Amino acid sequence: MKCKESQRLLVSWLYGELSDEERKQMEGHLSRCSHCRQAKEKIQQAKGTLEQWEVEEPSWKSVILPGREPRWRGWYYWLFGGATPLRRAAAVAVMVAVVGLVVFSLLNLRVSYAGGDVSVGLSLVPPRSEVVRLAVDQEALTQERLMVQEETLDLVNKLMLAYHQKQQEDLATALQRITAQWQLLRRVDLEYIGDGFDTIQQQTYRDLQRTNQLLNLVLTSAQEEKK
Amino acid sequence: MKPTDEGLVKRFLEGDQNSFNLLMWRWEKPLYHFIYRMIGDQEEARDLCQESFLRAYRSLRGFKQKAKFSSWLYKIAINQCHSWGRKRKRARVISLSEIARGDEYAPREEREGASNSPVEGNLERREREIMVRQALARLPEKQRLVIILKEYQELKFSEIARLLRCPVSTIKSRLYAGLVAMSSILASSAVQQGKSARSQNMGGRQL
Repeated sequence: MKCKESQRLLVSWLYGELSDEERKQMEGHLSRCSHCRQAKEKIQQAKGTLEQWEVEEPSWKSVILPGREPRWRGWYYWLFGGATPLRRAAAVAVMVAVVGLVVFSLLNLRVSYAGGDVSVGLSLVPPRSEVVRLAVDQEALTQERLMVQEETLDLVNKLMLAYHQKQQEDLATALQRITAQWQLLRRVDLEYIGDGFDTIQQQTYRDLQRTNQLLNLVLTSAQEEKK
Repeated sequence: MKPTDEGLVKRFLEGDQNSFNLLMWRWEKPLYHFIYRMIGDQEEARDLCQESFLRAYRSLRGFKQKAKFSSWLYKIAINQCHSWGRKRKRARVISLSEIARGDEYAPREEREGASNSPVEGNLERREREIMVRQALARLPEKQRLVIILKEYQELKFSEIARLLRCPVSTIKSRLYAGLVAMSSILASSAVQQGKSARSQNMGGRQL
């Protein structure tokens, strides 16, 4: 037996909690180990000294004066303490809701940059679709439209030229580019749709008609050529 | 027939306020003794004892009755002593001589000098008590706790183990280490005792 075990047995012996079997073990070890023999005397002596400390009886007797206890007991009580399962579930729900709201509002953090001002918005409700009015620079719009129209005309001219030179591939390419230009035009329109919708629609309609006329022209001339 | 602690707890939970008073009268003495021996200050011990009962009263509804009522009460008291010790470590004013003597944990009346000491016949007993108290105060808190629970509160090893959430073997080792440390502290203070007793006597005569 090691000294470590013997020490535990010694303590049990000191307080009279030793079985006969353990007593034999302990005595066997003590006969062999002088260190533990000394320790036995030491702890016996220490216990003897401890016994001399008597504390006076308390000279008072307390009673409890029941009062109103605060209702709030702290989250620990609700989650792990003595709250009933139903209340505990309610506490968990409240906690989840609070944490959820915080996380949710963080997820809905919006940082917007408009006209040099940065604004940060924190909302509990996810952002909905909304209508934003943008200032429309009518002049720039007109300029761009003119440019597109000019380019379109230019393309149609090239198309005719290409047809005359009987280069069929170029015809196809030119038609594709016309389509692309119209798509661009459409996008520009959509971007400025907040203001002057009617004007844009009318312009677009006119542009479309003009291009149609030009294409018809190309087609008729092509048919005449065939004949 | 005397009702058991658990029976009283049950009666209290059913709405009988007086059951708690009965519990308190039953346990006030052992709990006060326990706290006093842990912290070595009578007034503080009285306050902490009351505070412990108040905490018990407030949270008795949360007491699951898995453990004995007394163990639960001890646990509250241990926590009280522990936080008291921490608070005390944080900030306090003590005299330099205390630090020099190394008995910062000595109780107040003793630090102020034993001027209010009782009858002469008690003096020897008192001296012995002070010796034990100072020796205990010098032990690490864990060892002191186990010694007090075993020696004075007479708890079983298994009860202490459950209370402190340690295996029984750890408790026994801790008690052993505490007792050995105790005996060497006593041996060294016995040497000093001779010196200081003489000087104290002289000081007493001067006053």
